[in-house]
Amino acid sequence: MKDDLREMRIQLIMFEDVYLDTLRHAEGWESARYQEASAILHLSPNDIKKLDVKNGSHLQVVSSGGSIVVKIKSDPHCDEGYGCIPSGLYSNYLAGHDPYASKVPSLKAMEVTLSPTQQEVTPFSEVLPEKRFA
Amino acid sequence: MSSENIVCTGCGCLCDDIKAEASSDRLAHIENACAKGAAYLSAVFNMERRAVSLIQGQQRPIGEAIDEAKTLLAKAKRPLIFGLDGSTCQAQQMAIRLARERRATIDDVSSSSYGPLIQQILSGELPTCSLSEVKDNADVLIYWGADPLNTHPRHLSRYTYYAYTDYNPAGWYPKVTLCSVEVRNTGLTAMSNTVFKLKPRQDADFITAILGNEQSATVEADRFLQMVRKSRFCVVFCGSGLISSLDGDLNLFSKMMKSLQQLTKIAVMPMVSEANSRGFTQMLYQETGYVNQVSFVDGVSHGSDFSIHEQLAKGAPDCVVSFDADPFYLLPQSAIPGLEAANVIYMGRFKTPLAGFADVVIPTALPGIEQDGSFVRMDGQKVDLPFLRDTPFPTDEVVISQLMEAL
Repeated sequence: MKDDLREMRIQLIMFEDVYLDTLRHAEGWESARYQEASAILHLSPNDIKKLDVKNGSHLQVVSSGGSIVVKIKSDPHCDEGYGCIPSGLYSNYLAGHDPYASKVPSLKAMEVTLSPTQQEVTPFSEVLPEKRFA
Repeated sequence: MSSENIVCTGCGCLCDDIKAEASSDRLAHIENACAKGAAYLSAVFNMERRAVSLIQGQQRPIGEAIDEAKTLLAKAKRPLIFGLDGSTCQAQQMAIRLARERRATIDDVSSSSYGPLIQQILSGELPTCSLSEVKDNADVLIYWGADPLNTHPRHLSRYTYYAYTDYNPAGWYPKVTLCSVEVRNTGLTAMSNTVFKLKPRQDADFITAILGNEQSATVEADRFLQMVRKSRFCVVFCGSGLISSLDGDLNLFSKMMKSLQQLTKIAVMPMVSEANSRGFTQMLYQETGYVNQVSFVDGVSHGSDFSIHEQLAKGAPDCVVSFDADPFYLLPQSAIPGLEAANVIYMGRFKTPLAGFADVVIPTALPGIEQDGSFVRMDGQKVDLPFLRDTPFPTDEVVISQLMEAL
């Protein structure tokens, strides 16, 4: 199926999520539940409306660092024009950082483009380098 | 089984009121820990979660893995030692000695977070205090770019807001102003008495307004100044949001603190996430005068050139020795190609993405459960860890001493 052409630029803010940390410790980073909970993008209900998508549908997120597909979660606490993603493998993958230009990786405010997609959520295996010793 | 007092090493709070009962294969009972701490400490008993001794992906005895690590480290020309934020102060001191003898670069996660803040605290440029001084004494608690309900779940209940013993006549809210300076709505902003909502990367503008010349003064800055002026003792808990927004340059923040010191007694505290990152930074500062980003190639050199991220981004190290730290969790992907180009030795407690990638994996004991030693809490206070049970895994100290023997 052809992907949608609608796009929206937002600032992406990374946040710490105690539930996610707890899940990682309890079940391990490779567990399906940890991966699923990591791939959630919190967006304001109005931004979801503007994108003409539904809560729970998938969005492609493109940054200067890379591109992933995540699931949307409608979050009334999110301000319009901002999205929030939990700290972890996905947020680090998106973070493009030039250590010569800035001292601290810009994990707290990344410019990204969102567009609706029918693709599946990006698995961890695609944001990590290939294992050297498979 | 009897209940033992232990210290949780799940975050920089180092809660020392944890009671635990361990059977041979599980943590049978735990009291007082938060969900994150309980999950972390319980994972130690889950062998499915523990790191496995590996050489090039093949399971090997731990002794062989240590021998292979010795070989890789001995032949390395530009080794980089990274992590140690979950190691005891004793192990950190040994690792710094290893780095010095091996003429290596050494760094930890503070390099891209609290390093500049801790450097200014240790050098006396910024005022600080202990968590025990906060409780019942500070009347304004400012969490700036910090979300303790998610990063340090017991921070408010054990050390600050809810730990106060002096309540209002209403019997609930302590006589303290809880303040949050944040870019997004959080659980903390919802419960704060006063909130300053900023846009991302506008912390410097807000600080400039607080420093207040007529052009930059704002209503919000005035409100902030009034709150501080009215307080007897104000503590600013600095989170990673603040450090990131200021791009690690604390000069403006430091200037603001000096200005606020004219109004009231004020102190800062880094909301350090990693359990003993404060210990590592203090130890390295004692040894070299710097909290991180140190190279021993030619005496002691310091600078962002020697940050883990810049080292990996330019592919400098030919051998990366990681002590319980995973760049996949901690660094943006621009650092990863440098990791792919180097030999990687991972010493840690749990399976992580790095453990699945490293040339050598050495599983090690977890301080506080499987070994004793000391850590340093986020406020700079030393905390002695008892241990709960014996373990087949070597401590970091044992592994480091074996690596040093080879040199």
